[in-house]
Amino acid sequence: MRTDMKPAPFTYLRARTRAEVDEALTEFPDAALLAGGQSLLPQLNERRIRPAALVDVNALQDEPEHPSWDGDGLRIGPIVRQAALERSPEVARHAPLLATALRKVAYPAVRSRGTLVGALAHAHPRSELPATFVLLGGTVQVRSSGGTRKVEAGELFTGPCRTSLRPGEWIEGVNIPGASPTAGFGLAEFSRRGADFALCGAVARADQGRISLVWFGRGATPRPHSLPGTSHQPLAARIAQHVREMPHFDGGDAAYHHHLASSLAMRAVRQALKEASPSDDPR
Amino acid sequence: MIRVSPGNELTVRLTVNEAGHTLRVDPREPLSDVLRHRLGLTGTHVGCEQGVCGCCTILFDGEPARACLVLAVQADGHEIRTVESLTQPDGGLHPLQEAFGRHHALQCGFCTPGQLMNALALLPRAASMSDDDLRGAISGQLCRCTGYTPIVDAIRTAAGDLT
Repeated sequence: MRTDMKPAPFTYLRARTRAEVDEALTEFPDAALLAGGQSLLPQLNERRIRPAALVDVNALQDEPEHPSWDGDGLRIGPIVRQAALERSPEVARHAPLLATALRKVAYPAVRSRGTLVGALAHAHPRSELPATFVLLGGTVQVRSSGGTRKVEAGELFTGPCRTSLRPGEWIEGVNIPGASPTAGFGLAEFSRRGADFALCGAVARADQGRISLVWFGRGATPRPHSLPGTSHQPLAARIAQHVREMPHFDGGDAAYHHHLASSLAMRAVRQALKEASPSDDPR
Repeated sequence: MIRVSPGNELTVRLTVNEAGHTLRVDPREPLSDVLRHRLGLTGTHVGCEQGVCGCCTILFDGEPARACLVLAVQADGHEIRTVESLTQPDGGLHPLQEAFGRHHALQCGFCTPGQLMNALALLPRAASMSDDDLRGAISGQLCRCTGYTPIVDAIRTAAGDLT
């Protein structure tokens, strides 16, 4: 085998059950989990990471390939592909913003393999998915050989590509509460090329006078911002105040990035207000 | 649990263009290398090996995927389709290939296998896609020759939208 752009050697572990994943991570707490692999394999191929072990979850038995709706929230298992979510009528009905955000993730050949669980665990600061997950107030079910725990979206992301998962823990599922029927949602982003990560973007929700907003590509980690709906201050001024609280995380022209964050947030909020129930207009 | 230590191999069974293959592979071998070096299917081109260029796009269980971002061990038990499968039984070209030729949707041809396999998956819905959506769906396929417009036209033609 030619090895010029190949991963460094690792122990390969193919788990058949979730308990086997726990077992593998007990032995190799720093193993990389292989789900869709669309962010992991480039890092392995370039040898930016050299994990001692790779735990492949793609062959988990009896795992759903589609999300399910339990009357309260969407439940999304560890090997549900982004393409399956994008086409799911349950996602379209109960989390329309997630469907919109998924269509902005790279392109079809990535979404056919990539998973939502993997994208959240990867926690890329420019990805639409962690920001959407924070805005929608989702939770993840985290597990290890020591048991399971729930982690709220706001507690999951701790920095660029960093999460609060401890060694040996992994995400076995995502729960996203159903959207309020009166809510409207918006997403706006800018990228140099459709397939690239956005330089910056924002997702917004408007519901009964309340507006919330989460940026991606702005700040080290996605964080929810509430804009008071009844304030007399113009929307742009209120957004600008929040932009200043979220420093740009990786250099570049500060004024340009400030402009991007402000104008994209404005677009996302306007779209959310337009889609919300008609009485809902605090401007 | 299947466990393979560094330097060892695993037996995988995969279907490529409807033919079954049983191979011993190193778990770190990408599917793109196995297709090219082990099965001799050199139609799948390898450009960047990091998921950027799209030249190695194949169909994995009918869905487009980067063969460089799938390990061969992940293809165990799955169906792969490569550009070689487009050739008709009489040796003629697939309508998508014909359309690429007619619209000059290739020049050097390096990206073409990936363009074709990516487009093949789009064909059933390409006629109803907006230009923006169609361009978005091919945005992961880099072409340095054509400027993309002829590629969009070729996909539209093959989807029966243009003549």
